[in-house]
Amino acid sequence: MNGVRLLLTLTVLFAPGSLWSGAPIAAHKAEPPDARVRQVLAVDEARRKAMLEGDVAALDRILAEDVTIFWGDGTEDNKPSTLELFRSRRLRYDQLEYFNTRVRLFGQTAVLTGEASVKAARDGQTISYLVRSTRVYVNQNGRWELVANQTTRVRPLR
Amino acid sequence: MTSNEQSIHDILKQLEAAWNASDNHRCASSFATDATFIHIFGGELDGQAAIEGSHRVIFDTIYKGSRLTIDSRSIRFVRPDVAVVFAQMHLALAQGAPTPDFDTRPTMVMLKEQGKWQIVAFQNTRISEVPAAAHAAARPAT
Repeated sequence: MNGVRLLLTLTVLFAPGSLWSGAPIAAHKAEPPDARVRQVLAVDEARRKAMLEGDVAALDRILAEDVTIFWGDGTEDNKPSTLELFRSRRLRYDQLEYFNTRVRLFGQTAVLTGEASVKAARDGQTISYLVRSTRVYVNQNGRWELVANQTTRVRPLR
Repeated sequence: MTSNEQSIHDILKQLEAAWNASDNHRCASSFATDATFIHIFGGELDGQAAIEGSHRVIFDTIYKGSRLTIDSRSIRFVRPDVAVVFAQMHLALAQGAPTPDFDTRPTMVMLKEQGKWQIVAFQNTRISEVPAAAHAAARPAT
């Protein structure tokens, strides 16, 4: 591994809420999690809570101006259209739980991959899936901002 | 087009050509040794070797004789040696295949190390077969 790449891989074994509150993180590697990993996981948890609560102001802070979101059905949204989904409550989440999250850092870029259970409603249509997702955060404007978020459906939730 | 943009376009062309030649080794060579790859069925492959092996299987089975087209949609340089690449893919399956052709949207994170760009993270999502009218009325999201 050269100097360009700092790779920190960890699997979050605790619930995201616990992580947000500062509980210990279990990691595969012996080294303690990098402070930047903690920062980006905290922002990711804030985003998760904002999506669950429909907190448009919080999402506005976390989403980069040029964010691209690919949803589980392959459709795409940018920042204005994503915020409008939540503002209008046309998209509401009842459940959004991430697990087996892995964080890789490439300088000021963080790539989070993992699984999630999702229960949501969009225009009255129920959505209930186990998914895999990739979230890309960039440390810019003095904070971590989401620049890409992609979801792929694995199977319907039972 | 900058040299970095050209290099990234070259990777996409290499992926396309490798797929259409059913060349799993060449296909995997676009990925870093520790790359992650999430495919359209939601499965995750860890590392270049797994990507190479998995593509051998699909080139010999479900995607045998298929033709892939990749269109770059945007390249965002997070910094000079890190790029987030959005693309659209079209897969034309072999004649007589049980399922129709389909489109996907992949997101890739590419990293330049020692002068060479490689994919370090790849996730692909199939675009659902929902009629346009239905999309306008109720576009699902997860």
